[in-house]
Amino acid sequence: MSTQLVRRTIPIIITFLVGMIMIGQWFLQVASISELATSIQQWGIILAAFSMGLGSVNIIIRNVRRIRRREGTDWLYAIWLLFIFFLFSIVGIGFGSTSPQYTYIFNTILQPLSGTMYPASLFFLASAIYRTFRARSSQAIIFVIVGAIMLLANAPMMGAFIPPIIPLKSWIMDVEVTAAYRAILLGIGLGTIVLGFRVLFGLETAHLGREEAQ
Amino acid sequence: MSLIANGKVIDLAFLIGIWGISAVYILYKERLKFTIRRMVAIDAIEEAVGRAVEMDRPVVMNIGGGGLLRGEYALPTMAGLTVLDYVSRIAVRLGARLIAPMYSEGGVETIPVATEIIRDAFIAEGTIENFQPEEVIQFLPVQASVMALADREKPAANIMIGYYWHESCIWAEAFGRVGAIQVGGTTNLYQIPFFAGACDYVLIGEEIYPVSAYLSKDPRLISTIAGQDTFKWISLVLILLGAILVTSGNEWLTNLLKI
Repeated sequence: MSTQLVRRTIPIIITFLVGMIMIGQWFLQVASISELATSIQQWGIILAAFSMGLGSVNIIIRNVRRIRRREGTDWLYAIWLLFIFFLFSIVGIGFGSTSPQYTYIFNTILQPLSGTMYPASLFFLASAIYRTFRARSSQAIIFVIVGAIMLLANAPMMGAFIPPIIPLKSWIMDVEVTAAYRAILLGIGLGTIVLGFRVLFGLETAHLGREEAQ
Repeated sequence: MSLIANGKVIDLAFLIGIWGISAVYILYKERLKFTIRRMVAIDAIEEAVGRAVEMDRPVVMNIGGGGLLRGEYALPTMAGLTVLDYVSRIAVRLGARLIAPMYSEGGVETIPVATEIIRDAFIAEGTIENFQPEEVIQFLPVQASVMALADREKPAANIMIGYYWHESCIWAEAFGRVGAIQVGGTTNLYQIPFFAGACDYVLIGEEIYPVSAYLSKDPRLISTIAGQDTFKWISLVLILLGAILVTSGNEWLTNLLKI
């Protein structure tokens, strides 16, 4: 089998057939298409599970290399990462992902750390706002003014100090922001459909690799 | 029971209409000769990679966590893969070190595709011996690991094209702090303002889709963009007509679009 057939033609055919089945499942009321589409979605879940295995191998190889190189202090974090990785894996496989043991380490290690990231985003957002809200152009000035209005209006007591700010905020959200969002959404929707057309009919092939490399 | 599901007849007609217009434009591409406007953010990518080479710092190309298996996230990820193809080709040609972090469950689905794209770039440039997949493609399952990547590697360029959630702001700021020049683009409406504020160049919504058409100048691809623009005009006419009709108390168009 030629490389062109395996790496281009067959994937394009598979993409077209699967895409048409999924589109057919959305628009048509045909039981056989719905069943086929459900099977395809289940295959996708299995593919994702295998891909997670690939990701795990990637993590292990990269961090083992980091430990071997022992550059700076990164290798200490790599040791800790691999320890936690194997701890979760062994407990999950040995006792089950719904066991009290797994639930305990999940609730005491992963959940608090994940929860910490969300408040951290507040500080990053504040830092981004500080760097962004420098009025270097007319658009930036408008950005600063509208941003300031929205921030002030969202503070509960500002409605008492500056009463007009609440209806102004509502007008900005209901008229300006909604109009802009709908316009962008329309563009995104049409762009998605057209990109889907290009992918399904084999016009978009960047994801299949370079012809000169095959 | 009808063949087409209730409430989706007009949707199907619009889908066929857009595809049909694009197909007609492709057929008549030699006569119509469509052109695509300049996209400053895409032009800036080569500049960003060149900067990375001069500063001897890596380039980070992030395609987001949308993955390829969930419908609404797959096409922005495809757009990200197109940009990854372009960035990897330039990076390998100029000798820049490329890092492509794959984030979360969506990113891990994309690892094999991204690996092949980058490997092909090395093969095309004749430097396959320099390709170390585990160093280029890095599976980073949580947000903090991408932030740690920014702090550890201090890249000179960060390109984020794909589907992002709230991590867009955190990552854009984390890479901005280490002095990376940033190009960002996503179709997630609520994250576009963060990219607009934090990135040096931004692709708003649908602008991430015509990248392959812009870079290749392929008349077929540009014709599909023209088809998209034609349907935007049709949508605009329908919106204006609908607004006038509804304001005057006529629900005819509204009821038609619900078929």
